[in-house]
Amino acid sequence: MNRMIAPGDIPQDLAALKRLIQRKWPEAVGLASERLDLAFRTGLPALDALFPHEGIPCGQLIEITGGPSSGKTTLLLTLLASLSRSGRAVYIDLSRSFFPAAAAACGVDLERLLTVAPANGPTALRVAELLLQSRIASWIVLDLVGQKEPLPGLMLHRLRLKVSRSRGLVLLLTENNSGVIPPSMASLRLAVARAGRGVRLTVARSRICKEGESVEVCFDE
Amino acid sequence: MNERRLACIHLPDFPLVLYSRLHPEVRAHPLVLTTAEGETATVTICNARAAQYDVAAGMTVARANSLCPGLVIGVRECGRETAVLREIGGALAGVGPEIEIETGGVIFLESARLGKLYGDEPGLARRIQAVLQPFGYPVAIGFAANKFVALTAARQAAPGGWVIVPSGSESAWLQQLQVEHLALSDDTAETLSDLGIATVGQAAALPANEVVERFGAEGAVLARRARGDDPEPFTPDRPAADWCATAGLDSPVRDAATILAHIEALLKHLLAQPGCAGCAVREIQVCLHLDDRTEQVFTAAVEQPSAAAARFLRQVRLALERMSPAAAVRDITLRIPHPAAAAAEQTAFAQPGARGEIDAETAATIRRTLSGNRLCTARLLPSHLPERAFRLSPVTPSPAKRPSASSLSAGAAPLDRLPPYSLRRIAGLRLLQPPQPAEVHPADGWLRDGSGKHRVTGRRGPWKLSGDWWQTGFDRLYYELQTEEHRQYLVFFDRSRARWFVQGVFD
Repeated sequence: MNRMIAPGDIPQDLAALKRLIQRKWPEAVGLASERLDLAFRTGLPALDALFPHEGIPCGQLIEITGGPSSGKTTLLLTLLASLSRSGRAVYIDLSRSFFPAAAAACGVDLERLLTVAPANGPTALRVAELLLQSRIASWIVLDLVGQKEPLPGLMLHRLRLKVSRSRGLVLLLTENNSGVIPPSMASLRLAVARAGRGVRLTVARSRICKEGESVEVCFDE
Repeated sequence: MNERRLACIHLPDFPLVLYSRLHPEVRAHPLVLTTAEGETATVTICNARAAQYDVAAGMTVARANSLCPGLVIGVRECGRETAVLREIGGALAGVGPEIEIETGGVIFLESARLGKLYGDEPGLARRIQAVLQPFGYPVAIGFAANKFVALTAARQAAPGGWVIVPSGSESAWLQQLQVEHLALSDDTAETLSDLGIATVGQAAALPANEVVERFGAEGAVLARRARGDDPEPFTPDRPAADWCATAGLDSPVRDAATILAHIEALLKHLLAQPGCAGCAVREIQVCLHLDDRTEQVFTAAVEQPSAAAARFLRQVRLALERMSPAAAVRDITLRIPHPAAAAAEQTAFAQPGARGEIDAETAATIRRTLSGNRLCTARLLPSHLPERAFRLSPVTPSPAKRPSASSLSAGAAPLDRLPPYSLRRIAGLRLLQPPQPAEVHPADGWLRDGSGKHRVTGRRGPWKLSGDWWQTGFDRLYYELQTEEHRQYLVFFDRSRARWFVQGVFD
């Protein structure tokens, strides 16, 4: 099959372009959709509904950000509870404020959770890489609340590759406008704000779902 | 081939517990349950209060009434029991895919292939207990190679605990138990008693052929069970209906690409069905109804369970290339033949990823990277003080080979697993360690901490915590404060030092 396309033959219509790619490079489409199809259902239907496969696609860096008392930690622990049900998770606690009783109250299975408190950001990233590489855990949480120094872009990029290969998830917890993570690094940036008894989640930046969408999530009392 | 291991999840006195929940007014009374109304109905189960009056299962209601004054007689709500058990079974489906639900509060779960996910059987037992905790029923678990021994083990376990019978030692484990555990009819039990056979070991020592000759079909069951064998196979439940989708084509089609396009659309529709949404699938059966009134059936199977249409589509394409339809295709039917056999999706996609164990080499590398700091696991401790309510213990690398399972082990009561810190529902509390000194002026309504001065707009509390008077002691008044920026703090006033501290921030 001739796989070359003349520049003039590239269709402008997205659906037609997809069909063309599917015809010329079926394996590429297959691989890409496979990776996205492997979705993690968070247990929060409103959040899951934001994604094409009704769950957060695996193999991604996800940033959860919000101000103090916005509910971002509660959201993170709720996601971690779902994650810990399906495998071992690691909480990399750079902020030194992890409270196991709160995690347990949110449903996290502490027996399947490892915690580590590295001294600085680069060490945290290195540990996360090691954990993914050695398949100790597929679900990693990096608690970066209170961090001021931006994390090294190269190491973040490497971590992104590792998580993509391992089909795990890395959840990065940051504070609003902290600048710790370069904007383009995470596949999804969820901004968390307080809304009534729950929180409002806004897709601030995304490569995997529509930007600007927002949903309200209520945590069970 | 893997050996069979089963976990038996036993809800002791399930019909009674459920009945008491539905009719709370009967809780303080002696209670029996029957399957029908009337004086001639037979008692199927009775509670401890009724048993004190020598009421027992098997006697008539009239007899039970005569023994126990004030006896409450209820009719079992079998429909509700089944519904609740199905709900519990649904929750357990997230732990493992192969489940068999029996009446009377017994559920079997195939556990041989869950080791990758939960480690050893105590790990699985803890997982099951955690999953079933929200239902609020007492749960006892037994692990064995067949249903009978697993159920017997579960009945021996204390509520909240578990008993493991290693494969191959069923007979030895059963030996000391009373012969009643073999679930025999009254006549057979009486005959055995007359013969002086009191334990399962004694029954097992009887010649099998003579037992069968003497007791007939029940004797055959008795002989096998006494030796730790079970004639009843494990038959996992299947859903009531197959997941299936059919498409009728406007006109018969022969072109493979067009057939494939129709199958793709149908496949996406099938995998998006609500019943299918939480599951992955291992194989899909494709049935092409041809124009000459014949059918061509083939199966598209993938190695790892998946809910991705693309994966199956590739297999379908290959199959279509291998066998081109003999006539034009009129209708297409897709069916998921064994949906229950497909692992729960989250189980499935965890498998290729996390291996879970930490070998010594990786542990050493991580330790080097962390320069002394180590990977830890958190354990809750029974303390009211937040900073003492948990302990972080370094993870021990797993040895090269797992030690063999101990002969018999009973689980600990889960009291130490209850979250002890319960000032309020702890939603995302970020703990400051050590507590940060702060200035709080309740009268003026402001709080000053490391981040500045904040106006307090609301408070909850105080809760008083004091203790350890034999040592240095603590005496604290806890408050939750909300500031005008909607920050929520957990603060305490240390009465011994007359100072305020921020213990944490709710986030």
